[in-house]
Amino acid sequence: MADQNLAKLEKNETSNYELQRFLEFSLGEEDYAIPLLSVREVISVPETTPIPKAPAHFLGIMNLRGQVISVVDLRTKLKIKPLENNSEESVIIVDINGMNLGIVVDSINKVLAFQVDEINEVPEIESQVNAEYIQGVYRKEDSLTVLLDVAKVLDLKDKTFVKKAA
Amino acid sequence: MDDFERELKEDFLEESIQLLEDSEQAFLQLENDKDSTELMDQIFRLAHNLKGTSRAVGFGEVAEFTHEMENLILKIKTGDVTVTDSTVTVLLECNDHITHMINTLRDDLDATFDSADTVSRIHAVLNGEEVGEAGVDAEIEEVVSSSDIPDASDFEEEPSDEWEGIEDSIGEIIESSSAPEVTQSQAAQEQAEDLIASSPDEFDDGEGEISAAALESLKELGISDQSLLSELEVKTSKAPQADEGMTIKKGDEVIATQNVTPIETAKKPEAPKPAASASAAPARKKNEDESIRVSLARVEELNNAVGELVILQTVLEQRRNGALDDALATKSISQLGKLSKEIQEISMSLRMVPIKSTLQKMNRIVRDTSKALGKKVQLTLVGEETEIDKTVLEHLSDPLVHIVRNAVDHGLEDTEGRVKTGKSEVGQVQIKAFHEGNNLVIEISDDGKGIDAEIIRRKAIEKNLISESSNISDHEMIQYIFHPGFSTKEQVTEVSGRGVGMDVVKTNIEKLSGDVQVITNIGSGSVFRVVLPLTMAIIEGMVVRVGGDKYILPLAQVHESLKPTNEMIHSITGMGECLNLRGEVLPLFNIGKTLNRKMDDTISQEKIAIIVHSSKFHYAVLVDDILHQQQVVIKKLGDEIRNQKGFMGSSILGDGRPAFILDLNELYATSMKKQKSSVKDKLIGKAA
Repeated sequence: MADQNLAKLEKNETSNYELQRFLEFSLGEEDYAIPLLSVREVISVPETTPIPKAPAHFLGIMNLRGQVISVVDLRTKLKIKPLENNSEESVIIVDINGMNLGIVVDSINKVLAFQVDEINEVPEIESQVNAEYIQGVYRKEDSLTVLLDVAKVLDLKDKTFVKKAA
Repeated sequence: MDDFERELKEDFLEESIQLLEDSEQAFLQLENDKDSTELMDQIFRLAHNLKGTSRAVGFGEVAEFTHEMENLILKIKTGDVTVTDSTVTVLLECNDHITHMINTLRDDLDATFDSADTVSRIHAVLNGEEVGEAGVDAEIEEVVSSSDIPDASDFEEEPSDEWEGIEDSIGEIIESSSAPEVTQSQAAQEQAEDLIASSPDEFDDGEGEISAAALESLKELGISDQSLLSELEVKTSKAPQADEGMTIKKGDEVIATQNVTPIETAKKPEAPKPAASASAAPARKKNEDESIRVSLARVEELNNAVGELVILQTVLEQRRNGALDDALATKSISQLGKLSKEIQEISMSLRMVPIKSTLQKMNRIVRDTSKALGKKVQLTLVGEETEIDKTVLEHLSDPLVHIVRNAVDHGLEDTEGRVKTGKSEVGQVQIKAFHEGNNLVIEISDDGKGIDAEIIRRKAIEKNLISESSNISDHEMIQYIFHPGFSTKEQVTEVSGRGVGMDVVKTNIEKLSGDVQVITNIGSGSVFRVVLPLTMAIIEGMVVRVGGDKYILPLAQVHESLKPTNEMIHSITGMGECLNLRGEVLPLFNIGKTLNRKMDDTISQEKIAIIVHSSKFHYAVLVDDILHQQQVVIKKLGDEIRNQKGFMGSSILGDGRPAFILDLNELYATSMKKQKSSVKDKLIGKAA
């Protein structure tokens, strides 16, 4: 699975030596990153309206300048313990195939730029429950950053057919 | 295929739908006005346009087929083929075939087709054979029997259902038979002839309009010389006003080639009145269309922004008294309020389109239905220019088709029956659209026999919907035609009664927050009155409180609201609570439980009961409080939560926070099924 994602990553770019940019953020004590191109903006945590009957990681819906967007807590979804007394909590507005979604993270760290061949494939571990959403791992000196596929984390299927129908 | 080519193709597909709608209308008009040269010119232009453009963007099969159709039209134009009902039938079949191709291409740009069947019909007409529905069948059978293909009977009905499979075999048959069918090579040859016809000296006058650079870039885009040349031919030799190609010169080369299509079509929708036999050219000038095409997405963006503006304005309005001590500022804020309301109205009106195209589709429905049933019907359309939100319009077509079909099939008597009752042979069906307050009303009336309440009563008793002794007025009884599985027709006919009943019509219209009513007079006909909100983007909403949350209920779903007293609420073990409202016992649902949200406390008597009347049954829903009523702008929900049942969308309230708009009927749809037999019918049965 992971190599397929990697292959996809590579295909997107004409050359392996082109720089990939990712936005790195923290969930709990861990570092994660998503492609910078999918990031629309970063805002502070807004007031949200809870969504009845939705899974626990759906924090609610928010008003982003007139657009109603769902906000998802990735920490709940990935079962990561949030940091306590954290003033850096933010929401990243991401664009997944034309669909906007807010994701709550503990803090925004930096923009990473590296070449595709610097990405390490995910080691296949038997006990791992579901690592499909991990596109790869980027290692710089001692720190590890997990490259996430948000759509896969949230189990969002390809929605294009839904749009057509609507 | 690169993106640009894809875009060209997709644009063509979008635009050709309009062309096809226009030509269908023109064909239908031709049937009533067989000698109109003006109409003939228009039809010829449409077909030619379709051929040229489809070839230019690389849909070879569409181009080949339209070429065949054009041949037929040319022969009709020159008088070699006379216009009869059957010619029109073939023309309509051609139109259907192209529509089928276009629709398939929309899903799959590489789709291929077999047009041999329809082409053979064209040829039959060209050869002077009388091609009625039956004639065609016979002809096909003949071909089929000569080549030993079984299941010839399959061809007797409209082939649409088994189309795919049959097409192939027919194609083979025709190719193997010696009939004068056009084969690929022949078509190609004709295409080549076309090109020769448009040799350089002939399109000299067009040449000036098109810069060499434009030609060059066309080539770069992979549009082959051939297709380009034939496209130019369209512009120069055939189109009466070649200066429509002007855009090519000034505009952005290739896009401009595309622009030619909308410019030409834009002038045509104004169908020429049969009486106006003035020459075509001035008529086209007069109908200069000053509209532009805008993507719905962009309009929606604008509406979102304006919606936000209105919300901010409301916030400002609410705060100005406390925060400001400045007369001018206060005045400005209320001015701003007026202005933003106005802007909102304008931006909402951008989504409004005339109902015309949908109403015109009914021409075809009436023609086909009446032909199938052997009835003579005249359809009158009134108020075609009435405007309605595009999103509503899209969902309107199916219910309308059903009602119109019903009017022809169930409503109108057959010719004999009409003569017997002293009516004229030709049945009248009228569709009338007009605005009434904030609603659009569409009335479909017929001068048929009307609906007999007694027959419905008997049916309802038969189906155990009501008991024999229940006392229901005739007017109420007639509304039972909207009950699921209810048909007044004893026998299922070819045209209707295929399992889709009026209940589906009603449900579909209710989905649009609308309503259908029937008014009928025995002996003189029925009127189906469809009432719809003008737009789906704004609804009247009731803001209610459930614990700490606010929800919006569409006012259309709220029948009444009241604070129940102790005496009204009854608890029935195993069934939950019921509300005794003036003798009617309604199931009482607690909205907090349904949504899994906390409410203030558990005492039902402290809450407000909202009474909801759905088409299936009535029920009551408990909320903590009603806050206010207001117009709300509906925002679609993201795909990630769209499959949650019971939410119509969301909206942003005056405090800037989003709230869900509940669809109570959907939310309680499952509960209704369970309760339906147990509560309502038993209670009605007991009462009776």
